[in-house]
Amino acid sequence: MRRRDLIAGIAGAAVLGGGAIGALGLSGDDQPDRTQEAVALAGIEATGSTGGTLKVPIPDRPTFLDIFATTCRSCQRQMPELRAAHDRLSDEVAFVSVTPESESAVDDTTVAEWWDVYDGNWQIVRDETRQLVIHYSLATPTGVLFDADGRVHWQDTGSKTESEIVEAVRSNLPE
Amino acid sequence: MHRRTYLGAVGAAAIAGCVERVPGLGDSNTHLRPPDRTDWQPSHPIHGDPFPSFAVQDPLADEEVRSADIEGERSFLMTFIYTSCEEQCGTLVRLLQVVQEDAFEEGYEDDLDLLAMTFDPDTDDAAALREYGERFEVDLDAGNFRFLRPSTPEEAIGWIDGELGVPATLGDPGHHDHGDDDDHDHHHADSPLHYYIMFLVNERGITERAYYQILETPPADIIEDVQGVVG
Repeated sequence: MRRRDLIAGIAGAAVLGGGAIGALGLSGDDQPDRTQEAVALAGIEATGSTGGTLKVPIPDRPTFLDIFATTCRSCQRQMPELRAAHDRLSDEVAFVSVTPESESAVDDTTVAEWWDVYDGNWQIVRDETRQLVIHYSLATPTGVLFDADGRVHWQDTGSKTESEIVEAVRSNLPE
Repeated sequence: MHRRTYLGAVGAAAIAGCVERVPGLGDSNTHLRPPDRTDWQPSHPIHGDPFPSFAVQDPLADEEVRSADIEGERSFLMTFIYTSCEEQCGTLVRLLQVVQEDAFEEGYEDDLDLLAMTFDPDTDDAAALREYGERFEVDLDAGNFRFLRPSTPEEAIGWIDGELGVPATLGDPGHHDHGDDDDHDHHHADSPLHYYIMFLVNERGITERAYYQILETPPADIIEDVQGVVG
């Protein structure tokens, strides 16, 4: 709530045009009504994650998409929080982390090693052609919440705490 | 504020006096419609205003890039970065790279310049900028992506804040973050205060869009706007 007020305050003052608000993000009802068709992305073999092609968002399951990059320090900071949120939410939503980094820049082994260092244990995919992330954000970390039909219910950029993630999922996902 | 209004008026008069038609623009100065948001009057141009002129060195090509040379020829996207800002500045460069890729796929690579201006020229020499561009997989030899490097931090801030109207200051150790409450990756105490923003300017030098929530703007929306401007 405070964040929303801050955005309103800055906008109202009509002074800043920039990232002071840019990094705070939209939430809830600001999000344009969008339904994402599932796209086929390459899974990365790692702890809790399989290789092969995977459709994202996961068809017929609510999906929490975590857009991350191995070079992103906020993502590193967020990982323990994401892990804890995943442990609480794994019955409710499928977690998928997606990196837009290309394989030539960061290969699968490097991603899998990063994943172990930061204790991830759910599915990771690569979106090298950005066919999915291009509709959301290239900023990392960004979370996007889809319902079982692929409809977007929430999106936000910047690292989150466990409780913020749990709250985002539980308050935005339809019953 | 007064100065801004004055410049705006002068700009409008200059444009009104310009009778020749630019193909694709018709009688309008812009390709895109005004942004939906109308309650916003920032100090920088947003839509329909002339983008301020500039002449800044491209250290990789070792030549000066002048707005006067771009005008009448190409549209451009411009953003502001510094390479020691490890996190979201990279997102801005990656965004330009994604547009660059689209430009080649769609064949408008000669119609759009992608400009990333550093405002930390003391750190960001040609080598640092090249390394940064390569890290985000930009095609630095394509000729349509350019890093711009003002000669001094003061010159950079002077143009960004003074001419363009994007609030930016040098050195403010107690307060020099991006306003992002969880990113504090600052490498030196005199890092400039930075606002994530990107401008889309058409071939007539008129601002089409100021993406002030650039990190939240879907890249697909920017590409759609760009295609609407160069198309």
